[in-house]
Amino acid sequence: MNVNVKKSAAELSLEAQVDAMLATAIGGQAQALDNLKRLGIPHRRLEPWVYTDLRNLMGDTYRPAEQLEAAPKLADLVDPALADLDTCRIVHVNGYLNEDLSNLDTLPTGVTFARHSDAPKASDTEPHYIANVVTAFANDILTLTVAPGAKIAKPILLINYTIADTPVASYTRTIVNVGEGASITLFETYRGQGIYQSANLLDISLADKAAATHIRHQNDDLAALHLALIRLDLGAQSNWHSFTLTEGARVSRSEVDLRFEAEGARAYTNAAKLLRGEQHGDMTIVVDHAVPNCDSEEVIKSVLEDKARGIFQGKVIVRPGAHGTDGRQSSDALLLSDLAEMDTKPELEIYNDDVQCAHGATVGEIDLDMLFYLRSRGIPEKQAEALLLQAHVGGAMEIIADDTLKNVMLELSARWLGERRPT
Amino acid sequence: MLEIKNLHATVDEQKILRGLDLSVPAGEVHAIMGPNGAGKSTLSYVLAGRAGYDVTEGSVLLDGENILDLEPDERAAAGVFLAFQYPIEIPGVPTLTFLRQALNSQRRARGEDEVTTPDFMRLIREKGNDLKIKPEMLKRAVNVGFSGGEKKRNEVLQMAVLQPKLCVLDETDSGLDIDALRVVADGVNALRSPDRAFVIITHYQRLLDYIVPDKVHVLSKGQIARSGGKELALELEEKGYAEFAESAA
Repeated sequence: MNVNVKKSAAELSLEAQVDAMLATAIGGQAQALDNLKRLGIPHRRLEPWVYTDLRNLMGDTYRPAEQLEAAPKLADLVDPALADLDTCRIVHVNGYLNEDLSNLDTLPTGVTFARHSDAPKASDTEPHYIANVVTAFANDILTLTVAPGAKIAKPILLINYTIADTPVASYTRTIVNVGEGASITLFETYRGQGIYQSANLLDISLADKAAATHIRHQNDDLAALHLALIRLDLGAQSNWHSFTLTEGARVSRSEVDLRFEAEGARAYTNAAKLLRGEQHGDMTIVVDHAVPNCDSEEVIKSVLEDKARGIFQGKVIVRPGAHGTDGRQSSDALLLSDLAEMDTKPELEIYNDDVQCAHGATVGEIDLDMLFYLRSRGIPEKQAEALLLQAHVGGAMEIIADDTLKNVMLELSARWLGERRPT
Repeated sequence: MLEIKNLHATVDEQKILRGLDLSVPAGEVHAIMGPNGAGKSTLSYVLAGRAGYDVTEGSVLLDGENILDLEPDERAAAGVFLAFQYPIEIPGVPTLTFLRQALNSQRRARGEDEVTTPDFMRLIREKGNDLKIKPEMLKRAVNVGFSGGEKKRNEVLQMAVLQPKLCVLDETDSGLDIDALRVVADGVNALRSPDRAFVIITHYQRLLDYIVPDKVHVLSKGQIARSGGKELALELEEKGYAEFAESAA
């Protein structure tokens, strides 16, 4: 069926950018540009975008961001809550790697870093908007490789900052390959100022028995549009522990596409969403159990204030033959106002009998019995509410094994709760 | 210490308290007994300031100050403590965090200095020991996974830490076996002091064997129907509440 829809300004602008590049592009980039030209910007008539009508929500037209002549100061780029963390920094400003602000010389032994211009990947040809837009427009591609057996304790901090006077789009593409039996901690942060689009693609592959801890703090400007896709391939007996805190951006869509490639792997993908005003925050996770005996779990906690809208879409596919699968997901949202909204769409596609799959979703308000109990002990209402909200959000942080990192995330969520306006 | 005069209160527009008068001097323990539905728990929630328990007439003075205009947390800071019949479970909030925040909130509200971490830990260890509360229990979320006895001991621990002027115990004996009852009663008795008053709400006389009251009142149809000494509890145990159910009808 062909539906002719009048193209939005953002779509026309995207098309012009695609046309300008199509003639010279090759390989994966050419394919991505072609996909973009053919498919345009996703809209609500496409099932995966039913709650996030990107074509409508995009609003502005964004021109590609340029490299800044005067680099900002490091202190302005890093959230104060992270300032004391001992990390190896990889800094992108407006989608460009900034080697001066990074400290690549402190990369731990066992981790190597490479920068290149094209990295074809089979799934690049999939018509996925975020993958296509980043593959088409990212300035360069970074690859981090962790040598087999290397246990990297120091977190690798991926700092992404965008500064916009007029609406610009920045793109980052990162590939992380963790060797057999190796482990790594990745910490992504997103901040910026002005009206911009930040689109980011992270491909992670864990070899057999590899482990990754992944923390993500999305605190983009409240005028920004944030798009992210993480694609994960999990080897045998590998372990993935991920926690995302979303508090920024006017509109955000954060996707995780997780595929079990060999038996005995475990993946925990948790998230907390703290949104207020008219923010729109979408977390979409697809878990593909293609092989037997893998465990996956997603725990999503949301706190929505004012007219904020939260979305969680979780799809678990259990393919024929993937027996012994354990797949769980839960989404619990607390609404702090009558106008806040949470949309939850769990989907299970199970082609197998010997599996355990569970999903649950709750949307509610602060429990008045708990609130009264705390207040009856002398804790004022706002503080009592903050305690309960912090406890709610903290339920998604249990999977962060490192206490220092967990405390940073608790501090960030406490800060958001402390910024609640008195009613 | 506590002066309740002509207290009328409604819940869901139903009149529950109908002109209750009660005076509890400092240093005394008063038991409130009565049949189910007499308004015993309503009285406890009205004193603590729970939403939905509306006072339509009368006054409640604590050391001469009307507490009915105060928010629940302000009443706590003024010295009111309610030990819940069913203590609320609060997942994700560690008991220690809760206790410390409660104590320091009250101290701040009274213009006192906050308690430092070492002082607080010392206080908790000491009070916890008295109540046979293991340190592991304090690291767990408030009342989550606690047995019935642990929940009630946790209520008494809070009382011991917060040192209120007026302690209201709502059916503290419910769900306790004899050993747990004794520990809880010992904890309460240790808190008896010349500048503290207790209101002990109970359906059964059993608790009063362990916490011996100075006065016993029978609450029926929203009023104090009869008052007496501790022997009144024994009489009620023998005769039941039938007399009050009929006489007020």
